Amino acid sequence: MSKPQGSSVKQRSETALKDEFLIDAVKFTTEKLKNGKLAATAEHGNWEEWRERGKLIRAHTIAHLDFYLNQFIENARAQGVHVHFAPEAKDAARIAVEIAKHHQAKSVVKSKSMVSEEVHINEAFEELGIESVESDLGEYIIQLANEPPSHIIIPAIHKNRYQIAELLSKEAGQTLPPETKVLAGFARQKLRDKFLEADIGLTGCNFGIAESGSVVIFENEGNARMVSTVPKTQITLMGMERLIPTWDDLEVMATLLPRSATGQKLTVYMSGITGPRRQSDGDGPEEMHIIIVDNGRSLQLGDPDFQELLNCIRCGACLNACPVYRHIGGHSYPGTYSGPIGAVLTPALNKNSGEWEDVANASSLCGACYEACPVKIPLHDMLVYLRNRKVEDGHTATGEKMAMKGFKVLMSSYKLYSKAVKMGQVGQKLLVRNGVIKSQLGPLKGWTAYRHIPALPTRSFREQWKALSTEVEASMPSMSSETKTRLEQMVLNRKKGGHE
Amino acid sequence: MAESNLAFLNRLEGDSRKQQQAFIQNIASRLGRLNEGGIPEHPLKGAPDFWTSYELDYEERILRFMDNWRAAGGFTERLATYDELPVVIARTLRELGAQSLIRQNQPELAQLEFERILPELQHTVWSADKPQQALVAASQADAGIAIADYAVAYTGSVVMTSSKDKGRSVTLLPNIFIAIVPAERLKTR
Repeated sequence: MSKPQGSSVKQRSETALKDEFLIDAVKFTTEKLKNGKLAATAEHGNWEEWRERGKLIRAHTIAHLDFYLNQFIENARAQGVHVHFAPEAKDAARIAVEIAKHHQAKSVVKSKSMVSEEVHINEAFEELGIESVESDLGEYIIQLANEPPSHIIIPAIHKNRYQIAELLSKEAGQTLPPETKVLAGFARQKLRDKFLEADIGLTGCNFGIAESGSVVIFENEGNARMVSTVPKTQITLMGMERLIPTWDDLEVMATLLPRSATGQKLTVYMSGITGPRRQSDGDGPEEMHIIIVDNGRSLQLGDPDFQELLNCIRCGACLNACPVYRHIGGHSYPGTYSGPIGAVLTPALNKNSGEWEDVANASSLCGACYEACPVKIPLHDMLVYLRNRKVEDGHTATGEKMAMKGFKVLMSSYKLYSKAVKMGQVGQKLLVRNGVIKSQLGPLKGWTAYRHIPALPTRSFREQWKALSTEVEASMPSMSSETKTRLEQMVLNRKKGGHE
Repeated sequence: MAESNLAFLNRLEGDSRKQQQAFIQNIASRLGRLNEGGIPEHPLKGAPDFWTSYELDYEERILRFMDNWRAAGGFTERLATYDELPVVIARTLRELGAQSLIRQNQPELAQLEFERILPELQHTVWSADKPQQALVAASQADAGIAIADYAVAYTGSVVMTSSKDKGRSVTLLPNIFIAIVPAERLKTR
């Protein structure tokens, strides 16, 4: 699949930032989704309580994942499901292909599944000459464009209706007008035919219910329900952390997920599937397989910095809120997942932060992702941990290493620091205009290409402190004795190293 | 000789059971346990208390459901008695230009006598005895009709379970779906 050229996030971002169609399309949709979420959560009310409950349920499930996964497996088997295990991506693809080969499948129809992107299932089917058709409209569009998804829930977010009309016109063999109704109508008819002739339906899974062994899928187009109703064989790919203990817990997730993703009270369809067709049923798959995928997830377990990553319910709210994603779109990120969750998930799942170049730096650490997250994952903290690990693993660029060493020397000595500030105050006179530096000379360019540097003041804060402290003391209301004692205790404690 | 489906599934099942222990053991050990933990306490199950006690009265449930259904793009009509159903459904299907209808095999629907009141339409009743024929009929029908198992006022949703007499395809494949929601099955949340 083709992605924008460039080996690093920075290089790909530079390409994306020159693409006005992309910038406008991503901005328009993320803004709509973000505002939809804000309106839906305000209308529902008590959102912080819901977030807290969601976080606790997810954290509890992950902390007892061994128990709940076993419970899910046994209950799914009792309903007639064939359960398989994929420690790595290639195992998931191998098992799915083996099932397809056994059934001599000619075509597979898929509903949206990020795990299937992660394990490159389409490529595995194609190698065998099995047609694999995406049935989600957005996924279908990017499949025609031979591109990976650029958003967790809106895979074709980077395309506008004119680009979509061009893609679908090629498929239709005639020019289709860039009207949403016409384009959706064409895709609907085309995909409907594919549903009816497909040998295998492949779905993802939003949640697995441990107490009954059921799979729950949220969607808006009805395609996932068709994929799990019409073909005779169903394969469901499930990340091993997708579980929740009970149907009662689903009420919390069903409150959080659609509102956070699209601002809906509930998606148009929410299907709960417990096993294949029963003997008396008239429809539904005759054979149902669930492939449980690890692929790096277990590496997060027991890791205090990253275990919470597995709480993610894949709503995409962090992407819509992220100022970086909103400018550069999803294809600038490496791997399957984009935005703040992708920036952490991709290196974490692969446990090789250094190899993922600058993805952890693709964040301003503003914390908007945390504020947006319905299960309160501290992604901005995790990005700092990733940067830390990258440094500890020795993946820092030479220039940056030298700069940090110089910074350490400077900040360790007041005299040196003071001299450097004085030199700066003199040296900047050549560059300062109207109180700011705009020059893009040498290393300044990295900053001034996008913003101005404020000039150093004529007197530093330290030089002003004596006068300032007198002023502050004179204007400060008297402190209560209780507060004073508490603050003095804190200072004392800090001097002891904060251990008491 | 090609492997039979049963032999194939048995082979996969054997492989799966062999891998299960190692898969779960890996998770348990990463979580710092030697073996899988016992049944965990789950004191914070489900929605917060303020929500589980939330209840709309009968009239509010109906109005809220209708508002939410319309907001999601659907149409609703409130009827006082079952006797009004045939006329309203016939009128709606004629307005929408439906030419074929499939319905669940539910006795309440049989009593509405669609075949008699809409003689110009092609009628099919869902039958699990002929699944392929039923699937094709559902995929070709313009409209599907079912009585909802439940409905949820707060989200404007209908709950449809499947069984021998209630095919998923009836509520899924036709372009038009008509759900009949008995008011007593309408829940707050």
